[in-house]
Amino acid sequence: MTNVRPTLVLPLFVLLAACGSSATADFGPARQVPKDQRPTVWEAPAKDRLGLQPMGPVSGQGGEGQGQKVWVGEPQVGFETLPANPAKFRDAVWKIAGQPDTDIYLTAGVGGGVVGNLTRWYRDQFGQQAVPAVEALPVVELAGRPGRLAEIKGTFNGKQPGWAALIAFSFEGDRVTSLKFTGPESVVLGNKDKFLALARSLRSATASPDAKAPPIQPGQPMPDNHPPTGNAPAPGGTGGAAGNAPAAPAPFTATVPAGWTVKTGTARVLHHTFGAEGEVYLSQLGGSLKATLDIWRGEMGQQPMSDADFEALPKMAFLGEDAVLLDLGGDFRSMSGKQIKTARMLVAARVDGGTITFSKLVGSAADVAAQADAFRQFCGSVRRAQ
Amino acid sequence: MTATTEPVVAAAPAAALQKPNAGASVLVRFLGSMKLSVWLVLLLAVLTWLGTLAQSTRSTYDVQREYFESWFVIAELPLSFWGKALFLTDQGQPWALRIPLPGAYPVMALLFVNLIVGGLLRMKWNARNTGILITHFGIAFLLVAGFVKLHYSYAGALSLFETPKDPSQVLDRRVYQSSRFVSFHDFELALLVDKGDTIEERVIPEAQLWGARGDGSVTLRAEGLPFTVQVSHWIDNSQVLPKGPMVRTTMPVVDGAFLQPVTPQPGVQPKSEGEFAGCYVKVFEGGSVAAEGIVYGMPRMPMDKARYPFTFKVKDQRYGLDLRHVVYDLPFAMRLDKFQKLDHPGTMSPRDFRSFVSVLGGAADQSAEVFMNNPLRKDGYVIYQTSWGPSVGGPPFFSVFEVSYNPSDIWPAVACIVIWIGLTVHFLLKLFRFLHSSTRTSLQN
Repeated sequence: MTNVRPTLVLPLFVLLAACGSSATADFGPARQVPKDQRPTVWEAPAKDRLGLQPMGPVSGQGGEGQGQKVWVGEPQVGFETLPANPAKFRDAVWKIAGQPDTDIYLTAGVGGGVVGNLTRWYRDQFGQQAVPAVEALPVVELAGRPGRLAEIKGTFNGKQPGWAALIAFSFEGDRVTSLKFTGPESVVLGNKDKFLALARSLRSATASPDAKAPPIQPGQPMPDNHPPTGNAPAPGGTGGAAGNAPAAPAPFTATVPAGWTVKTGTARVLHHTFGAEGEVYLSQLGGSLKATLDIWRGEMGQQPMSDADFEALPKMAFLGEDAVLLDLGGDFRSMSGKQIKTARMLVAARVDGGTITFSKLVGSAADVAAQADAFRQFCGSVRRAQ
Repeated sequence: MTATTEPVVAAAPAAALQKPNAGASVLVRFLGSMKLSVWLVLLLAVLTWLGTLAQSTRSTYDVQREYFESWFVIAELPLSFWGKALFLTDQGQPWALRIPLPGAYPVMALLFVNLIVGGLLRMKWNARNTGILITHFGIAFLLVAGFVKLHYSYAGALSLFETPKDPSQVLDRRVYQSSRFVSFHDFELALLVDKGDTIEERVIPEAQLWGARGDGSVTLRAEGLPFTVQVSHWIDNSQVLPKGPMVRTTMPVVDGAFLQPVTPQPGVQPKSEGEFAGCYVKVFEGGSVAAEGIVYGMPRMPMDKARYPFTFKVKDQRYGLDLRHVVYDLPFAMRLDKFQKLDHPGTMSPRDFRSFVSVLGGAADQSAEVFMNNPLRKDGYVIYQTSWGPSVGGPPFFSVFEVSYNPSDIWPAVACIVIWIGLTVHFLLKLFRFLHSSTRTSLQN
């Protein structure tokens, strides 16, 4: 295990680098290492392998539920749907059938601001010095929201003359969502109406946690076990309130302690009851973790925490990672009006990709004290469903 | 150090060294001269001063390599008066005088020769010089210990989380025990071959990849491999960024991401252990590109025990390329049973932190307590308590150990004892001579 000091070989390699030529080198001798000595995750996605934080498009960020957002649009005659590639900011992709030079794709919620994006489209991509003000562009509808339409003609990327682009875009702060159609001018302008119809029809949906599941198609019937969506009756014609709906497949799994009873007819995950009026469930929310914890403190009649109190919260295992543990006593009054005198609340919560995932247990102080260890074991066993 | 030789170095050269020829005699006289000793010690003082100044803008590790482990250095001395720069560069930075100097490595090597020739060979070996000779042996031994440490030792970090007492709190990915540690600073590119129950591993140290900096590239081969790997765009301190539409870069974009050099923040001393190397790799099979990707030396322990190599397949065999801190395997495993941190009252500043560990792998598990100045020694390795984390958000805490393998581990202590004995003997002899000298008699009168 001789350690070759860099200082001895440094001058040689500096000289090699100065020559600007490519060099060759040999790997060291092979050696066999037991698998457990080198825990290895093969074929990990680039974002996991390189430790990339989610940024840019809203797709790919966790929303409510376990799945990622996908975008669907009303199929237009002559438009061919292609696989989305969110990693490359292409959240939905189409092309004109038989026109390989055409490219239509949606990029949802990227940064850079509307002026920056207009400058990029007009000046950088089409070489036009005059970049119009956003207010000067015609209003169109994009994904159910008002947007604007940029129509640009010229030489695309400095090498494709006679090209055109139609870009329907909307913005919120610095984040811009755009549907962009580039190709030969005649083809682009000839499909303008269909492009605008596609822009109008775009909707986001939450993808299945099953990565191999086929994409959701507009008008596709819900699966038999899908809970009511509010827009369509539940399968089997039951309709009505969520309380009557069958449970959706849980995106989380856990070892449920003995003595907990499954609560049916609830949209919450792993929802159970215990004792006289205790309940425990798992769910997800957006927003700030501290603010959310403060809301729950309010349910127990307690004031918001200081930052120092928040930092000092104890940790426990939940979802295979550390989570903060909130342990509160007091009189419970939920936002829905449920009340428990002399109650105790335990919450394990962690932030993951902008989403708060939590497990909340609340009941009478005596019941909760009896379930505290069970709750820790339950939280320690929670995993995302494969 | 060699200043203690002053009364005796001027003594007549040993007969064996007086001849055979004048040239050799001059060389020996030069190498053993007191003047050379003084210049070398002065050079060491200057290097220490300039090296200390350099650490205000460079990482300690880089400065150590550049000033103290190198053969030659262009030292920089920012000219200032009373804290104000005398001259500024075009970029508004203080102008620095660039001084070419030998590195501390050759200076200490020459000092060693000077000590051997002047302080041992040329010196009269008699009772009067016993203390000086012993002292010079001690100093020479100290320099040898430094040489052995520089060339034959290695060290790195081992980070472990405290093992939860409640099994339900054990997290799958987290590192609670380990039989490997990783270098603080040095990287290696590992080529992994998935062999089922084992992983076949070939590594190449980062120094052999530095040719891939800038526009260069390095092509890597290994006997029996059906492909070659081309490394390019090597960056010593890099970060990986996703490439969005508004992001501009001249670097290649692979898998929607690209590498970017990290620029140290002004006024913040860089820490090389916080710098992660990165590069691009292309796998060539039969002259065409079979796979390409970015490899990035991001450490994951103790949060995650696994590595995530860039994976590709050639001829249905799965391979991985992993840029990682140099991995050293231990002949035993260590588990952190308990971590204890005591803070100063009313603060979050620790006044003591220590680890209670189990050493696994022998006939029986061994328990030990590791804290500051109380390392664990096992099978030639020394394990020191160095740090802990996370600084915000714990518990649970993890403990950080420095694991060091150094054949000359206790040599400096032995050398210091030898030097102490030599100086004691020398001063006792001086005292003895004084007590029996005519000077003392005349003073009494």
